[in-house]
Amino acid sequence: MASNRSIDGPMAKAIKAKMQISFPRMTHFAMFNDSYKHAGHHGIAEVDKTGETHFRLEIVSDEFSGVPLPQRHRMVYQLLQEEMSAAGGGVHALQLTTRTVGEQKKREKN
Amino acid sequence: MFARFAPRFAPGFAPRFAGLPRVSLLRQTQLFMSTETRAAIKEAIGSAPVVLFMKGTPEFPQCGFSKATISLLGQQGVDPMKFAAYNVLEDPELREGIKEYSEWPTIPQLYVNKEFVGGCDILTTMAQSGDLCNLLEQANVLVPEED
Repeated sequence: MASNRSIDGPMAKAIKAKMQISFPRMTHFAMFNDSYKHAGHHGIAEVDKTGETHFRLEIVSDEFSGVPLPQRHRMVYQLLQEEMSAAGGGVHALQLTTRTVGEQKKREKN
Repeated sequence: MFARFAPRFAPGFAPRFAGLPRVSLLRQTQLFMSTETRAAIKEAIGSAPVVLFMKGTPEFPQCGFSKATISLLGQQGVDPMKFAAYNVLEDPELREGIKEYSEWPTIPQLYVNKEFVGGCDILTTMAQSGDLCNLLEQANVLVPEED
């Protein structure tokens, strides 16, 4: 696996740890490093070499119950404020899937 | 203050440049945006019923997520006359300011009738569920259907 698809880097590990602590009711967590798809594109040259710029997260947790979608994403963004700042971590894009356990079950039925 | 691009979605996404005067202050890091920037962003958000902050222009998006968002809005049938796009790559103040303003760390960002809707993931999810269509319909920003 190319280094920029790895989810064992320091940034990936930090993100994973934060999610596990912050969403104790989480029933599913998946993480994908999509940095390889974006290597060398505009604006990330300076952090490109880390190979940890673009991540995709799937979080299923009842902490999202009754929370509108933008607010769910803000919850995650807030936790990763440092990682997502240009100075701090240089995570450039974070694709999020945020579902409650019920929403996930409904999806699996379809 | 910020360059505004009002595209026609079909055919060929030709952008119309409504030449608003633009002030570019090249400051790379700024913790809190100036009141001028905040006012300019507020004005930009109110400049059309549908406003997208993106990387690149509707004709030449410079990021996959911005590109996906543009085509999504096109598919939904957003009326080009009710749409404006702002290229954050043209203005570092806008690029940082809009993140702070929306409390949203990534670009693109969509506003409909001055309300923040979300970024690419949210729009994709909303398009799949039909929520985006409902929202745009209620906001009265779709191309009128011809009888």
